[in-house]
Amino acid sequence: MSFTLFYKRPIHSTLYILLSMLFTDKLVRYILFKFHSYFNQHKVNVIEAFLMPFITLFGSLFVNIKKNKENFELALYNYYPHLRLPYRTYIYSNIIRFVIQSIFLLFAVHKPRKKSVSIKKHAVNYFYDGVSYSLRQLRWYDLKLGRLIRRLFSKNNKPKKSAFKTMADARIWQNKLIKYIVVALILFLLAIFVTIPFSLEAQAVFISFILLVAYALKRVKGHMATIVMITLSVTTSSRYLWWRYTETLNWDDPLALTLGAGLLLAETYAWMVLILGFFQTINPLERKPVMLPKNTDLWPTVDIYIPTYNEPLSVVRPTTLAALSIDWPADKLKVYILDDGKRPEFGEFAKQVGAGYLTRPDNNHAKAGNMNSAMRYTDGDYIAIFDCDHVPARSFLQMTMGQFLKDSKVCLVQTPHHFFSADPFERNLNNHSQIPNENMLFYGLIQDGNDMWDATFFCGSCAVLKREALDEIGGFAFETVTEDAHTALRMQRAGYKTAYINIPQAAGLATDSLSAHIGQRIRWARGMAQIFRLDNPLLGKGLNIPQRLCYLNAMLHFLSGIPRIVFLTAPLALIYFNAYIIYAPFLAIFIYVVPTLIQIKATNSRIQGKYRYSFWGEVYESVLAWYILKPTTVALFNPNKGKFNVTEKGGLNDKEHYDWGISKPYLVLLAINLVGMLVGILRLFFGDPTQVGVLLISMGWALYNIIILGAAVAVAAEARQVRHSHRIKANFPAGVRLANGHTLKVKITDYSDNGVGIETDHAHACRVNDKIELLMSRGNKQFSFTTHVCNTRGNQIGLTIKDLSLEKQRAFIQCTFSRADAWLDWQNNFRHDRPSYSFKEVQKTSLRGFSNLLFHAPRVLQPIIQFMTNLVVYVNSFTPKRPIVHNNYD
Amino acid sequence: MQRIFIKGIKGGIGSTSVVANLACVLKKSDVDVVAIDLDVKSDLGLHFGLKWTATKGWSNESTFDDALLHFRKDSDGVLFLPHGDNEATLDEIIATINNCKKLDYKESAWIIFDCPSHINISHYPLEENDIVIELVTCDAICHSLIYKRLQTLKSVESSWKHFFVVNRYNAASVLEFDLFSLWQSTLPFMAPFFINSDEVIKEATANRNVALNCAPYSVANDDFETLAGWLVSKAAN
Repeated sequence: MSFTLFYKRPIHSTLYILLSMLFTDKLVRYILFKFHSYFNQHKVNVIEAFLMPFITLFGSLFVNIKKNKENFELALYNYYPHLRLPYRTYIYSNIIRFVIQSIFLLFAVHKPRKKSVSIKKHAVNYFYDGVSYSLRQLRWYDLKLGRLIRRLFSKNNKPKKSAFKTMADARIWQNKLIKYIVVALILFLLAIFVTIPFSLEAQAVFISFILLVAYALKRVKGHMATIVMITLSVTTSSRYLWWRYTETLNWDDPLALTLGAGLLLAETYAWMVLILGFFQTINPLERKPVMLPKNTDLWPTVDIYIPTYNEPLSVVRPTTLAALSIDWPADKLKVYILDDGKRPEFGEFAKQVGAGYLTRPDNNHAKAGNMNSAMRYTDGDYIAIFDCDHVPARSFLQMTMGQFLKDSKVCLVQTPHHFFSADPFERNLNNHSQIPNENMLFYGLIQDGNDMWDATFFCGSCAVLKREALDEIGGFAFETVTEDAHTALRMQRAGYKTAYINIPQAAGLATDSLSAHIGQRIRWARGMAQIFRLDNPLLGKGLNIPQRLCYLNAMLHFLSGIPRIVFLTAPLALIYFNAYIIYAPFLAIFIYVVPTLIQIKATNSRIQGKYRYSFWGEVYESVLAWYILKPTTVALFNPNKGKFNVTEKGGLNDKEHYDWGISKPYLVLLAINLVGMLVGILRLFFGDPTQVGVLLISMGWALYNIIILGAAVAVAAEARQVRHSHRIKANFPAGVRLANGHTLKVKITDYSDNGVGIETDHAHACRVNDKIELLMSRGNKQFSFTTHVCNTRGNQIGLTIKDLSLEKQRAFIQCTFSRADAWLDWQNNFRHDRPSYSFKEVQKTSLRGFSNLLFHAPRVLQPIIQFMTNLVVYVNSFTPKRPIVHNNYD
Repeated sequence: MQRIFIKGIKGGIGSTSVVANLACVLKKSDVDVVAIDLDVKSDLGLHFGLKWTATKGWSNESTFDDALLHFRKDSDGVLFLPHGDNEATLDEIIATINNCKKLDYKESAWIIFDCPSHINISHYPLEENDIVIELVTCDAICHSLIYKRLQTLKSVESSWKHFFVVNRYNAASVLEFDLFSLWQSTLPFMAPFFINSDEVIKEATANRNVALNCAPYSVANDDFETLAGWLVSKAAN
């Protein structure tokens, strides 16, 4: 240390001298070097810069810092992933985070419990094996018993029948007395099970036993297990309802009594719908198409009606061209466009393609009147009806007409309505083809169940009707707004049978916006209520009991407005008004309500799993509840009020916006529930401690309602529709010929009415704006279409097709929309329902709904929302997080 | 051994290309394939990689045993016999066809004859199991020629399997599309498919190779496979 240095850098030198009294020369130089580096380079303040080297030195006493420096940083990142970088800038908040996380790591996170997991898994597997083994035993006995009974009862040997069917068809049931005795016995047993009063412990044991069986049956496939689950559900739900009626009404408190009665009526409604639903779908028929005779002279004549009112020609054109290309002898097939809009361009188009064009002088009774008027000018034996946007496949008549020829009493064959575009739920929630959409439950399961009881009804499109039957009932019914169901009802009363083929043969556009969707449902609800007032299926002759019950269920479905609103607001009665709507101790409620709900959910998930995921039904109902309230009540009282409002199709949604108008009811309900939650929390802390149990249950229920309402709110955020023509997924081979004469084999991945997407490994051969000839085949014919490349992305090329001649348009429709296999995979993408996973999806959607609300909030509120979100994010950064664990196969 | 005679209904239809491509496609399924060039143009070898300077073939020899020396094998495994630069008479051609029957091959082997378009097929010693493919293109000339051919087929007791196959099909041409639909629905012996017009066949020949090797992803290649599969089913009947 030279004196000159001391002179130039006084502080440095002072420190040097001071420190050299305590430490060795090397250490002193290290300390000072680090100090300078921190202070000058990293701009750390003096105190910290001075302390850091000491801390490091102290730490080095315990840990070899040099060796573990990298590991140290990595470990710091893994165990404390939420420390904000750079560490030093946020040093104080990082220290707080560090401390909280350390406490968390010490107490909360244990080592992976490998050993105990395997024991648990082992026990679970053992349990499952035990249960399924006993069930297999049961099945074996059942099989043996069935064979025995079959030998005893049936005269003719039909070894193909299952034991169940043999028992069901055995002659012993013909004897009415035996039938009544057995039914009475079953009802008696059921009555005992349902009404016997259990003490709480007994109920707990009973219900846990049932839940165990239900849980074990989850893995067992087959129809018998479903029937067992249904029986259990019927028992538990009936028990629950009996308990509610007999033990939980508080006759002393008038407010609680009224509110409780309201809830009880809603629950009775839900129970009725449940029971009827089980009845309806217990054995879907899955009818197979019948082959037509080889001699085409025996095939009947068919007229195809395509009614239209104000839809553009671009929507009607593919339908007409596809209808003209249906596989049927040309002299026996006639296509008619029924134009209520009386537009001349439609007439010209019809003439060009060779379809008929019918109009009428007035527009009375909308679609039904249109078709009735058309019936005067046509004379086919059968009438097939397609909505103007439902494009039929070429195999439509081949699949459906066989039923008529096999059984002359059949008057209607209905096929599913399949949508190739996303309906408002799917579009706004962005889950097209990930979750089954709303109408899949009806066309996939319920109509099939109806078919079993011969109660299929006409859905307005994609069906074939017998002319003779229509003439007998005086044409299409027009007194209600759902003239299709009413027509089918009349035909069934006249003694005809109906059929449903569960193979989609046509696909159309879903409703465009949420408001149009709700408008359509309101019309259906109103129409069903009108039918019930004007032509009640429960009364009157011509229907048997199962048919009446199926119609009753269809009607009840549309009455779900009031019960749904009741369910959404019921828990608040306790929170706001302290009214015990379920007058029972907390434990009883818990033991009766929760397991029953779980059991019913499990059964429904098993039956409907492929067609509707759990909890989404509540979301759909909540969206519609407020809106179908009024029309159904009005129609029930005065069926002739109300007009037919046409559903709009084919519009374009060009801006992303939030439909505040339509979501008002959900927002109000949501607000009530949120405030209720807050009030509930306050009462938890400051209220009567004896009520904590029921308060918790009510708040839990309110939370569930909030999640459902959040999802309903999410649906109202209208997403932007980017394309005008909807793309349909496909997977069939085709060819292209490039300008230089080379051909390539390609795969068509999607198509719309003016473009095609193809996939090939040689996509590099094409560039944007190239002219390419697309070669597609239908049968032996190969058609060539001039296309332009509009984009290329990896393996895929997008082609646009412009300005096709009419012949080429027809050919294009024939090669794409009209393919017999075009819609066959409508259900194949969906896994079976898993309730817990489905609930997580609903939760995610709900959160999305809330964020939509905040995102689309009016401008005035934006700063507050911004501030609140920032605050929440900041506070959240302090909460401890799980450390990052890297897997071994990283 | 299954014998197939491929001939164009008139010259320039592309019969030699079809023979070469068909031979290679059939060879893919691991059976023995022999291609014999009966056309004086002697161009079959060019499709199999033979240089144009190799001009000698079976027509230059007086006996079939000497002609055996001219058999060559191409890289795909197809055995082919070039014609040679000596103009052969009809009797010599018939003799060669008959001598080929003596070749020692299994039942599953194929012998494909590339026949010249100017010699009437009924002159050949055809038997019941032989398949004759007459290649046509979709135009008015072939239309008339097909009708003429059908008349002679009716008058002569045809004891072989005779088919017409469309070559160089271009669906973009309205005339071709219409003619093909017409032939499909009215004419007998029409094969239910066609071979697309594809640049790759020309380019393959320029490479002295076949479309299968040059562009396996092309539609024409698919068509040849369809032809091969269809022939297999016809041969089995």
